[in-house]
Amino acid sequence: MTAGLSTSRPRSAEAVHRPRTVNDALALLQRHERLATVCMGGTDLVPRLRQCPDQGAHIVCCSRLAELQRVAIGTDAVEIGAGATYRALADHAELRSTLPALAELARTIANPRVRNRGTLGGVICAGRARSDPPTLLSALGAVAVLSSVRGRRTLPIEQVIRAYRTTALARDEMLTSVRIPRPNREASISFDRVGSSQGPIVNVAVSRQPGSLRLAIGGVRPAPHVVTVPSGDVTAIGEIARQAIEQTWNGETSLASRWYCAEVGVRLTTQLVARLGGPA
Amino acid sequence: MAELQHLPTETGDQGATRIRVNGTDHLVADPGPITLGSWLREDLGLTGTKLSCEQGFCGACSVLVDDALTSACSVLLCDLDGCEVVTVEGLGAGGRLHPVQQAFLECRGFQCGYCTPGMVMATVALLATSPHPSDDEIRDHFAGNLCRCTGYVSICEAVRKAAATPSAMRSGT
Repeated sequence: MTAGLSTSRPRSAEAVHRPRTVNDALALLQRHERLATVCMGGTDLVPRLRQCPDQGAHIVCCSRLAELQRVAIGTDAVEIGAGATYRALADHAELRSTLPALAELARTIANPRVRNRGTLGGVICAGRARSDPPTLLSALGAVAVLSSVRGRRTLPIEQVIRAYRTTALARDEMLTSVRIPRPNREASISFDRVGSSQGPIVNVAVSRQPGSLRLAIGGVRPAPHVVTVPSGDVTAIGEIARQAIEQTWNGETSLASRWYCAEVGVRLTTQLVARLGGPA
Repeated sequence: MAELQHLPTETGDQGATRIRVNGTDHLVADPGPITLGSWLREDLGLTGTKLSCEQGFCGACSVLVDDALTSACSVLLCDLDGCEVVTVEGLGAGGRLHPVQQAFLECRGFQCGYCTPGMVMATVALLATSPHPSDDEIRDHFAGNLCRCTGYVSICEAVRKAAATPSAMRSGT
């Protein structure tokens, strides 16, 4: 073996911290601010440590914090800790009955290795277009709970991601949970995508409430695009999806052409609306 | 883990990492930002775990961490304090192949062999939770294990053959 560091070893980080509590983690983020990066499951961040020298000199490992792994099913909302793995969500019986679309996505996303370690907190903060959970969460009206030593705030999921690999989090903030309004009995939601186990090309989530549809489209740019459709026939809703895709398509992050994404997006949207029993 | 309690328990913020690999306990002082895969290969000499894409896509570096299939390239060693890791070298016992390894051998479930340790570990993980998987379950489970050589037919045959092995013989990790 050649002496010295292997090329496989991450060289961009100087120190790795293992806080015992969320408060400890927040204190570390405040202390190291511009140089700190939170690591949950690591499925996105750890490979990037080797490739991206500017990823952060201090890695704050939070995957073992029990506070971040809780799934709380309340009467008004479901709160999912940022460190809850997809596997934990898929295995959560009450989540399966309360938010079946989310539990099903967690059961099938990516591959078993990602499901065993990947988290909602990590995938949202990764800021990638090739990502399914932010689209579904946006259609569900979910918000991210952002915490720092200065306090807490919430932000709609679709507003957390600002650009490729860029979020709205302050340097000393971490995403600690995702809060999802508990769907009422009249609501229904459906999700579908075109892509591979490595990520979507286009994904669509439709949440149907009495009188309106909430449509979220992802994959064409880093952040999901959300539009609320008050009424209309399926064709009209499909055209709304087409216009949304054509206006928001980002050639730098999308895997396919504007035309392809629009054609696929329209089909996914109309199929999902039909699956939900037609427009509101 | 009771067996690891004889090792120092003060891990602290940047302290040591206690980890068991293939039944052997290790205490790594201040491991820093090294991945499990790099540490297994370079520090322990366990090169059965292959590094290929190093993005978590290909599955060549698959190991078991607390019985969960994991990409060794995508997890930091220091994040595994108190964990138990099983690599392909840890399968089988007494110089005998694990039944999954035997099934891959009998079905010629490999060509160049680079993806094979990952395929074997993925099979062990699958059969632990789904002893008699359907073809759809096999396809879904192996969606993240890439092979450029075989076309996957012989690999699937090996998985089915291993599934047909009595469970008692398969628990040889």
